[in-house]
Amino acid sequence: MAVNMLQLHIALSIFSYGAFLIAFVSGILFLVLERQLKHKQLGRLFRWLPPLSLLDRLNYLSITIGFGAFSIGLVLGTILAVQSLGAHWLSDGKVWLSMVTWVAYAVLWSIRVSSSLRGRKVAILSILGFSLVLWTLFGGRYVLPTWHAYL
Amino acid sequence: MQILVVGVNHQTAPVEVRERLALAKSRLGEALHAARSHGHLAECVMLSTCNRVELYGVVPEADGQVERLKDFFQRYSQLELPLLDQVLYSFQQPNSIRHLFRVASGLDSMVIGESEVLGQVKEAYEIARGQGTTGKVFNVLFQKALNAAKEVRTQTGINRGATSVGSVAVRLAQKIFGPLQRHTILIIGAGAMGELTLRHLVKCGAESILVSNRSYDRAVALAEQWGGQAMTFEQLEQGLAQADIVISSTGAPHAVLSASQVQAAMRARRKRPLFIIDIAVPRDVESSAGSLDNVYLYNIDDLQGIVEGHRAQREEAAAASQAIIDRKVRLFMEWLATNGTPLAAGHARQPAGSRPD
Repeated sequence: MAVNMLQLHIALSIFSYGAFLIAFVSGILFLVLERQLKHKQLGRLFRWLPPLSLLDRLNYLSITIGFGAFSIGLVLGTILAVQSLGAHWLSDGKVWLSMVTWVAYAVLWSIRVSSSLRGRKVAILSILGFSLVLWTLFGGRYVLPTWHAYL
Repeated sequence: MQILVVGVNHQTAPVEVRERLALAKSRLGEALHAARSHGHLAECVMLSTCNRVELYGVVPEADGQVERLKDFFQRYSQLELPLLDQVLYSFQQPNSIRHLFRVASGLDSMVIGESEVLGQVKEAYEIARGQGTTGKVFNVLFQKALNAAKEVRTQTGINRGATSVGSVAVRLAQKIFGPLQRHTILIIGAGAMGELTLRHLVKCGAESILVSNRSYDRAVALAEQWGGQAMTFEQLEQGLAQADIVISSTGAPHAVLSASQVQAAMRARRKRPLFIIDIAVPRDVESSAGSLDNVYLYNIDDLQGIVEGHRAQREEAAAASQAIIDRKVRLFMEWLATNGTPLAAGHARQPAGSRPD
């Protein structure tokens, strides 16, 4: 089964977006539960939420795996961009935004791994990071010209 | 035909009286037979728990029955009749049926919605059936009681929500840390409630325990008791850096842990979450420590508040349960009307459409 580079790039990118989505959701749930525990107002959601430690771990794993997949996908995408756009490959809006997204998640991941920040701050960053992903996916093409016009 | 119940519970009789009436499982058999012959009962089940001692009976008619059963209680407990008159209650149907359904559902228990009583009712019934003191009526009634209890439990929130400070503390710890196995507990001081909380945590899987006390000897003694490690009071900050869950219940008239000490500990533990249960009055931990990142500080009022909230929820659920119980009682009474009388029991086959529920 011959998988071409484009297919692999797409698959990895989508997979990484899925992972970032999980990081986003777990980040939000973490903040909700943390707030309830801190303010001692255990609302209706309290019973159903998984433990803080689990949400934290899920957030960590999904960021790490997502970042890994995203990085590989980006490398492939860069190769493809250079192949099809030649010297102007960085002028493509989506490529550019993806680079920015990569840097953002690189920062997020390194913060997470060094564990000098825990919990809340990382949760907030996960949410911001995913917002950037959404922007990359949907907003990019309205602002910058891009070859990824099918998205 | 009547279904009767005669008995005492934690609301009508103090424990000194209840323990005279209580029956060990080994004696239940002989008691059932004695009750049946003495009380002229067609069927008989006895329920003896720490909350209640009750006798359920099927009689041809209610006249004089309660007196005979009171007499039966008097004989084996040797309590005086005037006292028994004060503490014994009795119900005839449909209230006797309602009472059984309520008891099985945990609505008559000291802790509303507790689930132990369901197993106790089941066991009491099975012992009686094994002794041959149940018949057509009770074989159905007790089954219906267990079903009613299950429905109440699943449809209302009656058994949800921890109802003691210790169990609330455990739930919170589990919500923060997940399974407690790999987490360390530090217990400061030797207050009774602190030890109770520790016991709850250990029961739910906590294994690693550090004990700190003003008196090192006391710490060593407690550490031995719990299979933990003793620490001197000076090593408190070190313990704080190691432990994930802290139980503090010293008798000190002032705080033994300042916010800055907690902050230092958080730095040392790289901000891993810290759950502090401060059940001392006056409080042991400076309250501003609670606003630090990843520190969860609960004092006795906080925990009590949660317990109260759960209790209120259970009482609401109890009110909702009434509707379910009423419906079940009505259904059973309908079944009884067509099947329960001696006349109907003589028929070889039940008429179609007369099955209960």
